[in-house]
Amino acid sequence: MRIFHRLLILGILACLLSSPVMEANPGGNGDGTRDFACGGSCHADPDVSQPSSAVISLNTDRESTFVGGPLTITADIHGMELSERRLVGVFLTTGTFGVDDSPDNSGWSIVSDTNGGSSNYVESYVLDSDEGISVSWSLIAPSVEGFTTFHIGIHHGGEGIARLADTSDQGGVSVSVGPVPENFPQLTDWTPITQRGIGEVTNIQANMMNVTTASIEWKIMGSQTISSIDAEDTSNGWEAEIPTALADGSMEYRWRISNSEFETTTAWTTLSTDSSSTVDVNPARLLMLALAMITASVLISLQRFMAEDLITSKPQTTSIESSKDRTFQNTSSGISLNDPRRPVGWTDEQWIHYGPDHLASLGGDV
Amino acid sequence: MVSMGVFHAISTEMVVGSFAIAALSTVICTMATLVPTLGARISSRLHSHLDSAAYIASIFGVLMIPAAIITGYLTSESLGGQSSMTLSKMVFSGLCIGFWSGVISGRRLCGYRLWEHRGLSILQGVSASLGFIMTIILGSIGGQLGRGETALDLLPFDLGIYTPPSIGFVPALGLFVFSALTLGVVLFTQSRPVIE
Repeated sequence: MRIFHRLLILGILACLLSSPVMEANPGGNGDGTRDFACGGSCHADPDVSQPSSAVISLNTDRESTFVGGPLTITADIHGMELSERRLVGVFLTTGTFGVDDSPDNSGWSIVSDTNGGSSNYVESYVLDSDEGISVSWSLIAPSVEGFTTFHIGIHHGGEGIARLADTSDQGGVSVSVGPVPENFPQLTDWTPITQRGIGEVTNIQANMMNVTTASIEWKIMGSQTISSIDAEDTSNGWEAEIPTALADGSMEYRWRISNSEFETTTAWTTLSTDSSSTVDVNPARLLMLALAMITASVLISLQRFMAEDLITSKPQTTSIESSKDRTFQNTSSGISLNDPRRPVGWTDEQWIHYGPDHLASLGGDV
Repeated sequence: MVSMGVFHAISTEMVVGSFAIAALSTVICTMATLVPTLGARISSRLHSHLDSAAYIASIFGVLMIPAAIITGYLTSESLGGQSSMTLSKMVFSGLCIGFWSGVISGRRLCGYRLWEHRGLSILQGVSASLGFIMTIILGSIGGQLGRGETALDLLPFDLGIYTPPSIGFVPALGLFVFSALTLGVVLFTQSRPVIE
């Protein structure tokens, strides 16, 4: 018993010591504003991690913007190893990979991320490594002019070990921030909608300056087809209504604004429809139980009603016993136990059941 | 480390396998009752075996449903929580449990003599078929959730099974109470015939 207890304690200790090494944070840490160094103790430690095979492609919708202007950054990632949970965490960072490298430290504001939040770190589930994932951020430029270099980093698991990849070898992507041109059309007051429920009417509204025409352009996430809806200038500002979502999913939209001199767009903003965040599960649970009970009730009621016929009628041995076997069963009772054709060693029960077949194979009658 | 998804796969395979046997056996027994020429071709021993297989497989399948639901719930939690498709799964699970409970109830009430009655045979066959269709739909939604595709995608039309019915808490509670009362009335007030 003593040895058993010692082994048990050793086993538990071994499990406790190995679990952080083998699993890191397999459930992720959730979206948030994080530096790439976050999670580095597991993903960046060469003793307990390995490089990722991921291929990261980083793109921006424009090479330069202006003070307070828009920018969309998209990262396409594929080829990564996947853990059982298939979870991948993606960082958008500025400058080098260290502390204080989230875009807000450089004065950039994240308007929306790919999950409908406003985080530089987002987590996503990857079903197929070859297909990968596409992650995008919509940003607002800082209030001072200059250059910023953006990088993408990823954390994930795979083959039982933590993994890390980044775009430092590629050099990232640089974006310049210049002055605002005179008479340039701009949004003065706009809080983008990034989440909505299924079936909700979504009205996009913004105040603008130097704008004569405005429209909303939208596309389904991952699609290249862009649709456009003209906005109306109302007393509340410019307004446009985008199509209602009928199921979970994400779309991207942006303003296209213009005047006689300039035409520009805002950054793509992700609008996600996620029933998990809005739908209460309890009605579905109640509905499940209700459907189970009502279905069973109807069937049981019908069965009891129809089964009354079976009480009044005697058991029908002939209705379902009209086949060859039933003929055999009926006649088998008449078979003689002392029949000389009975094989040696057959019990009475075997003879009663299989005797007729045996006699038939011999070509004789019962 | 074995993930919860593996246990879900095991439990669902047992449920689907059991219900496949039960549905096939029940439908054959029903056809044997409805089509005399087919009934004449099926031996009484085979008919009895099919009846027993249907009964036992449906009981085993229903007993395995809670395991499938629990492991499915834990799997969906580990994959980022509930989605509209998991809500659809809940709804179809209710129908699946209801139909298969009806199949078991019918067989338990009437015994083997169930197949002597055309109406009861038809009801048994229809219940098992609908129960199995619900099982297929549940598997299809699971495939859509796990792999992003399902064999039902081959159908030239949309079944609309991935969008859950939109129902509030109060209507759902009302329906639940009504269903519970209905079941209570059927079980405790409707006379239960004793079949010899």
